[in-house]
Amino acid sequence: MSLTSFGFFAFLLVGIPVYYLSGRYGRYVLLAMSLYFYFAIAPATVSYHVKLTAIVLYILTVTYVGALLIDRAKGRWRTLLTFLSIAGLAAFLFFTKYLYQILESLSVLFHAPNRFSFLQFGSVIGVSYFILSAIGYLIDVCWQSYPAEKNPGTVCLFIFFFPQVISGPVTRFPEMKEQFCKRPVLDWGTIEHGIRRMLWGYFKKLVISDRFAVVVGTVYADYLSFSGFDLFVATLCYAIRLYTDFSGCMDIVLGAAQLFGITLPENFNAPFFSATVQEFWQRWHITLGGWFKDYVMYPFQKTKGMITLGKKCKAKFGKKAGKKIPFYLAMLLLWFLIGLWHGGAGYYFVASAAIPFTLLILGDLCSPLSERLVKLLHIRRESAAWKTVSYLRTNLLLCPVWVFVCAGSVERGFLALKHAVCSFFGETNLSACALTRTDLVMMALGTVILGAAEYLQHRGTPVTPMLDRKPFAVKWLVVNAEILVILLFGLVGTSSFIYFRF
Amino acid sequence: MKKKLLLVLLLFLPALLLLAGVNYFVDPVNLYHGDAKELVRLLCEGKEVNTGSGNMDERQIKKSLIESMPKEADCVVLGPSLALTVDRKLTGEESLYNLAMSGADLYDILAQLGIMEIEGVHPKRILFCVESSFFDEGIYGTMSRSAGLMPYANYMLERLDGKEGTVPKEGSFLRTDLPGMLCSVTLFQSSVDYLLEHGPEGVKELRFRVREDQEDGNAYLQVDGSLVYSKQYRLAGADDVIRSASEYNMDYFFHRDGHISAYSQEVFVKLVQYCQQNDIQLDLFMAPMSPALWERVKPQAESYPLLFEMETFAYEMARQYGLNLYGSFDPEQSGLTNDDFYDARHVKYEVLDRVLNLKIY
Repeated sequence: MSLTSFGFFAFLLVGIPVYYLSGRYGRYVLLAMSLYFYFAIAPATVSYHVKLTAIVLYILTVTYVGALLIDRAKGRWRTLLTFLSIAGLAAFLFFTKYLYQILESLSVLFHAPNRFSFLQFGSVIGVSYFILSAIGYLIDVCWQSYPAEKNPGTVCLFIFFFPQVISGPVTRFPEMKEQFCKRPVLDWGTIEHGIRRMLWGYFKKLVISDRFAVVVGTVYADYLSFSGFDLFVATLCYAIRLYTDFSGCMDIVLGAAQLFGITLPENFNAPFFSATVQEFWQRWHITLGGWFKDYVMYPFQKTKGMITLGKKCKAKFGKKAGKKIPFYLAMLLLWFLIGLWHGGAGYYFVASAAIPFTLLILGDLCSPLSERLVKLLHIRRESAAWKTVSYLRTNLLLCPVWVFVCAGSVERGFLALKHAVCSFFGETNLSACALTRTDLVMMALGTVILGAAEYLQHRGTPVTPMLDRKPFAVKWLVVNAEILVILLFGLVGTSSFIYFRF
Repeated sequence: MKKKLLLVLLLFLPALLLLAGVNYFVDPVNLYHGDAKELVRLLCEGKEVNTGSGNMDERQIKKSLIESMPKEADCVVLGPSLALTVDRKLTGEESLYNLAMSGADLYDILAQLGIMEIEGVHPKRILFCVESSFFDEGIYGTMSRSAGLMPYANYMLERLDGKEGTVPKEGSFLRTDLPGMLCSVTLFQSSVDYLLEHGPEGVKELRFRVREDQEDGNAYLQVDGSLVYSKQYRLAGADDVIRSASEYNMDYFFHRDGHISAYSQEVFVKLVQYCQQNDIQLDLFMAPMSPALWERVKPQAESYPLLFEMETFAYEMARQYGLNLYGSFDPEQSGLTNDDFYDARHVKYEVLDRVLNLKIY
């Protein structure tokens, strides 16, 4: 079963009426559906299902029992139990996602034979997402934000809730519990919005994303055959491709949850309309950044060591440095972990950690200078022209991030950047992408529609409520035009969602 | 509440109905309009059948053919599309039935034998086309033209091991994906493309129907289940064959650096023994490839050991068990040129007798 398969629609079609008719047992229906979904998207072999059962039971036991024990403990025992429970979950993540990679890299580094193939567990779908949710829950219980949940079904549902288990968003327990425990009340308006949200996701993924992937794949497969300009275009195409793929997936996930009256947190907020790099990362993969800030960065900043460091820096370097240095260190930790979360592979680390961290630090350090320049040149920050310049600047600054992801290795990334600069005005060869007229029209139309929708959202006037206020006939035309475009021009079955690999 | 429900249905249902409706009524691959039993009934009445778009579930059709054929036919032809055109006129056998299917792999052929076993069909002779789809795990291990046939293949494997075998339940060969295919976006796109090219009147050309017009040039099934290709295909010339050969995916079909599957050899040996125990004459034939393709293979022979291992194995089986072996992958042995082929692999019907008369063993 995949998010674009008939099986998924049939699954929803059966699940929705059962859920709404289940009364106070709604959460158990959701739990059954979620476990069924999780097993249905996995490889259909008995051995894998046995493995998956063990994984689900392990994660649930560590989280549920761990939280109960933490809740009852006091003082150092509380801290110890929290540490052990988190270690239990983190160890699982480490073993399944990183251990084999690390040992393989060490074997290559020391030219030793690779004897660790038995540690290759194969990917566990969604592990990077639900482990974070579970750890967040344990930390919240430790901080006494709320008591530990006594119902194991609710904890299990929180971790494995089917629309989000494979690719997020990363959720928080209290918001989800409140919704799970509510008696389901059928609201056709919510159902309609859920379907429309899913359609928008399918439009982004099937009509736009996979077409831009062709340009990226063709150019980066042999970038030396293309000019720097071609590389630049391909890099921008990747940004669009990644965004429409990931946010499209999120729209489908959030829309599917909405069909059951469950509201999941947003993961994107018109990121390409960000005036600064900092703002971009606040609008991109919001729940991941928020999780790392709330559970890593801020607690780290409040540790005795960091407070002491802050005081020492303030004494030695002044008030500003006293604040900045601990802040930068906390950011370094934050981005290091985000890089690790993305797989830890060299090029991905550079792309998802090193470059963003560097840009943020530079942005912060240069902001006084930037302020002075703006004043000197009498630039009105609120003017449309300056905002446009800011958006373009932000997106251009982020291009190196995409270059490293597309290049697939650190060395190739640097070579690609060098080639992009040195051969920018070389002979363009984009026709090698062999896109048809239909593809080009769809890419152009899709980008314009996407851009317009994102801009409206950025302005605080999102499309959905705007369309709701229009006469039904207008809404009918827009929605059915969207469906028709997906049916006629959607590229089904060409690729899976990018963020499933995490 | 009811008004809201009505509005939601009004908003989404028309598109869904359009999707399902176009998929059902155009149905370019005859998922909903290819009643295999009906087609076979026409064949049994002595009528030739136009195959329409050519998209039909061959496995369903050949299964129905087995269920309808006499229990003691003179000959059945088994194998992939390379054997599809072998007919009664070619071999001179009045009661020959062609059970070949496009892409027939090891499990397809085992399934057909299993169905024959269940139906009590015991032909006097089996003409078996030796080809990589039976002997290459890279192909038979991954192809799944019809998962519904697996119970029959498993049954036959048990029979080859001398066991009773678990007879599959009636109806276990039904396609369970038909309802879902009504909502298939790719099927919708194919349907729309077809409508734009041929118009609504062209839809009836997709369906199988009794061949009344002898000159319409469409592909058709003969009463023995063999296929006569469309006129356009039959008129292919050397240039078409050379182009087809240059585009032929040798690495996939001949499994570059791959070897003959030990499992399929084991199954084949059991199959030979089964035939001999049941007084069925098993004859093997190897369909030659076009000279244009052979010229590509020869210089890289070391990279395609599977081909030559199959030939050696067939020869060894013929020698060991006294089987007749006809033909060769090398077109020169049959004296064939590029003009004697429809494409890179398929020998023209008019010269097929040269292959079947080339007795190697």
